[in-house]
Order: sequence, then structure tokens, then C-alpha cells
Amino acid sequence: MSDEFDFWKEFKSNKKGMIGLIIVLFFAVIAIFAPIISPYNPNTTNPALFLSPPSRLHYFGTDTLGQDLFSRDIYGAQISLIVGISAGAVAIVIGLLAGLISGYLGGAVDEVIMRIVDFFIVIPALVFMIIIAALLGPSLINVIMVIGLLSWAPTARIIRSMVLSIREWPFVESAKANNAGKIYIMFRHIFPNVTSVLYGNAMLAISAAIFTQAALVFLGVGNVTSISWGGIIRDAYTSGALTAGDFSFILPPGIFIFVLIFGFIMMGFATEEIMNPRLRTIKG
Amino acid sequence: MVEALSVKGLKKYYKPRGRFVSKGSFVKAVDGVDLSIPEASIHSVVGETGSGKSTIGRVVAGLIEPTSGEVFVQGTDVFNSSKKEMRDLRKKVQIIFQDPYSSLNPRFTVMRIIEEPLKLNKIPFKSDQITEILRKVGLTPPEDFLNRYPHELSGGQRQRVAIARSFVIDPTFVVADEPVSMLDASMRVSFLDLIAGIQRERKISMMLISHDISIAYYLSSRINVLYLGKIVEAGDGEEIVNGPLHPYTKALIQSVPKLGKIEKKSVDIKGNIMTSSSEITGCKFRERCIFAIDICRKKEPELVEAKPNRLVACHLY
Repeated sequence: MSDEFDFWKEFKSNKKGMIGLIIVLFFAVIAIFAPIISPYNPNTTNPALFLSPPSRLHYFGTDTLGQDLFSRDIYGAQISLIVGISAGAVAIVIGLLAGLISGYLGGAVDEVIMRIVDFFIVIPALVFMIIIAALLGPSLINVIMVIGLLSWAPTARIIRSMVLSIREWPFVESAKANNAGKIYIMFRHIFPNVTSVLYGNAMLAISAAIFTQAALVFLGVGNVTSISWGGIIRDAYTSGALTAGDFSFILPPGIFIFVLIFGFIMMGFATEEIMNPRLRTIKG
Repeated sequence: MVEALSVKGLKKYYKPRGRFVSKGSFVKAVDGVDLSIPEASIHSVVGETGSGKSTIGRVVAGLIEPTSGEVFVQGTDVFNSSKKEMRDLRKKVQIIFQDPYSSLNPRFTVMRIIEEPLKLNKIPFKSDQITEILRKVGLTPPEDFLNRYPHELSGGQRQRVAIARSFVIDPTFVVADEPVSMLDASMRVSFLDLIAGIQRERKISMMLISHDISIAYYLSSRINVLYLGKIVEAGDGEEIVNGPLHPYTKALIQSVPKLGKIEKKSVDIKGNIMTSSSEITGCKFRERCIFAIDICRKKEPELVEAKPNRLVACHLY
């Protein structure tokens, strides 16, 4: 498809986009090859190494159980990426469907969906997530679903507003005059014209999900036993690493979360930058 | 014989949106229009922006529902038929839209655009049919165009694609809504000839909508002049252009630019089209009419037969 080819060509010459992509790929490689890269089994405890400072053997030192922090920081990339991308995908898919249906069908359906959207935008999501996650139990799937189900609302709103304008275009009327059904028009005619916004939005949704997951684990919600950056920060906090000045415990996971989110946001910005002039030419 | 199109007492009112609108006031986009088009001929509806001509086209194509009135296309009641009858009717009715930039989905290839009416109406077809219609509308060689996207085509080429889409399923009735107004002046006549050629060859009935009376005159046998949702004059194209009766028709004809000589305009109109809300009494054109007399303010003129086969709504006749 010529469109995708154009997109990649422009993305390559977009600095923000390439920085973001390199960051994300870097963490993806770390996550996939964690068993090879990490020098120790991240779950091996060693009481003799209680909170040992950084050394040549343990680059970031060890935690209260004597686990190697460098290895744990590497494994932490897995959960962040899995939860971030899956929850982002859940949010985008639900947001897209809600936006398409709400914008195209209009009327009472629109009214109901938009009131639900308002509800999800207004409520303090983190508090709501803590309650639901606590009720559902701490499995990985539950965390993904809770984050996804609570962050689709902004996407739904943006998609709806685009659908409202696209559905008035004559090519939609032409399809209607040829016996096209509602589902056909929504998915064949309108959907391909909102994907441009969807890509950028997906990147932002993923970065938000990564942050939310870390925040939930830090607050003790979700699977606390699996290795994640939020969990390491929590361990550091509970063991008083901050007051003790044990920065190699608390800083690396924080920096990793920040950099990974930064990478996705840069990619999102780049996608929007590339797509926007195109949008203008379509509307031309 | 069944007429291709029969419209009786068609009205389409819009409720103005907003808080500070008095109750019961409407924008009368179309206010009691009768039309009839015999089989295999082209009739036109002419009027300026806001006269309601496109609304009539969209009602006739079944895209929007009228406030009241009857619309029969080839004997089928467009708004009181079963779903099955409507599906069958839509196979026979097509629209050509004004703007070739927004009437083609930017994400579809030319092939997909032209196949769409066939696929949606479940009409079996061969790929030759697509290339043949492309050749017919002047996109040659067709193979070069099949896999292109609309943004890779010029405005004229896009409109050719739009015309190909409208004629690929062999419609028997076509609504052409300003088919050439977005095109360069140099291309208009060839497009009109293209449309007229296909129309004559396949005996298609057509409703042409235009703001330009010269295009209506070129293509259609009968002209209906629309002003603020009402027909103010209707008759044979030749007769209307050579001897317009209604002051508005006269002004429309004066507005056509002529080459060679610049003559002094004998009829002119003032100001812009008024909003067609319900408050206006009397003739809706009186504010802009240089012939306006006393009665025009009090009574709305009826559409009467001024001459044989010639209708006009003006107190002067």
C-alpha cells in the first residue's frame, strides 16, 4: 500500500520518531533477551547480600532479600511492555468501537455512550483501578483489563468527533444510495479514515498504561510477586532506600519507566506530526 | 406510461438549532415543490445557493426524508415502500455529486470505488466491466488508473471516476447534483457531452441540479427555476432562455457571462438570498425585485400557467 510506504519514509526522517523508536526497540530487546543479558537469576535470594551497595559483581547492588537489582531491572522491562502494549491495545480497540458506533449511529446510542465516557473521564481513574483490581485479584490479565477498560474514554471522544465529520461526506452518501449497511459504512468507509489519529493515540495510551501499571504496583495493587519496575521502587521505598541514600536501588527503575514512556510519547508525537498534514490534504 | 420521477407537494423544513430561536419557526429548505420527469429525458432544477435544489436531489435519491409530500421514482414510492422495494430501487438510482474531492473515499483505489456499487447491490460482474466503463468516461488506458488513489488524480480525473461509479450499475434514473461546477471551465462542455452521451445511449432519465442556467439549457429539455424552496418558473429550456417571464429568471440569464460584447444589464437584483424562515409574507423575491408592486408585499403569488406548458409564480402575469 502506497500510504504505508509514505508513512515509513516520513517517519525515518522524523527525529522525534526515530529517537522514540530506538528507545522502544532498545527496551524490547532487553525484555526479550532478559534471560541472556541478566547476570543472575532475578529471584535468587542471598541473605548474606542484604542491601549490598553497587559493586563489580552487582552493578546496582542488591535488595533486602539479596536479589541482584541489575537483573531485576532488566526483567522489569517485560512486565512494563506487556502490560503497556496490551492495556493500550484494549483501550484503543474499545475507544475505537465506542467512537465509531457513537458517532455514526448518533441519537440515544450516542447519548448513552458519551455519558459513560464522561463518567470515565471524570472519575479519578487510579482510585477506581485500585478498588477493581483489589476485587478481581492480582493476575496479569486482570491488571491489563482494568487499565484498558479505564482508559478508553479519551480515544472514544476523539474518534467520535472525527466520525461526526466524515459521515457527512458525499462518499458515505454514495455508499448509502447503493444499499450499504451501517456496519459496512462504519468499518469500510469511516474506519480507514480515522486510523491516522489512532496510531498516535495508541502510542500515548501505551505510555499512560506503563505509568499506571507502575503506579498500581507501587501502591501494592496487582501482582506484587512478579518482577516489575514499579515493584522495585516499592521495595526500595519500604526498605527506606531513599532516606538511606541508596540511589542505585531506587533510581534505575524510575529512570527506565521515564525513558520508556518518553520513547512511546515521542513516537506518538511523530505519528501525529506526519499524519496531520495528510489529514489536511484529505479534507482539502 | 410511468413517469421517471414524480414529486408532489414536497416540503422539507429544518428546525433551527440553538437556544434563542422562537418556537415554531422553521427554515423552509423546500416548500411545496411539484416536479415530473418523463422517461429518458433530462430536466433541470436551477437556483442559487440556498434555494433548496440540492435538498430536492437528496430527497429524490432517498437520502433524507421529506417533511411532507410524495416522491415516486419509476413508480416506486420512495418513502412508503418495503425494504425490498427500496433495495431494488436503489439499484436503479444513482447520484453524481458536485465535489469530486469528497465524493471519493481517499482510502479506496479507483477499482474499489467503481466496484463498490456492484458489490453492494450484489450484481455479478466481470473485471472487463470496470475497464470498459473507465474507457467510456475517458480514463485511458484503464489499467493505469485501477490501482491509483484519489489523491493521485486531478480534479477532472476524479470526477470521471465519480461518473464511472454512477453509471457502472446501469442506472435508469440519475440525479446529477452540480456535476461540473467544481471543474475548470475548459472541461465543462466535454463533461456535459459525456454525461449526455451516456444518457442518450442508455435512455436514462436524469434530474440535473445546477446554479448555472447555461448548463441547464445545454443539457436539459425542461428547466425548473427554484427560489427559496419554491418553483418560480418552469418550462421548456429554449423558451425560458429566450423569453424569461419571472424577474428572477431574467436575472439568472443576465448573470451568464457573454463573450464579445459587454451590454448594459437591463434587469438586476439587489442583495442576497433571504433566509426562508416562516416569517416572510407575500412574495419571497419582492425585496430583491425591481418590478415589485404593492400586492407583492401582501400576497404570495401562485404558480400559474402563463402560457401553454409554461408555469410562473409572479403577480406580473
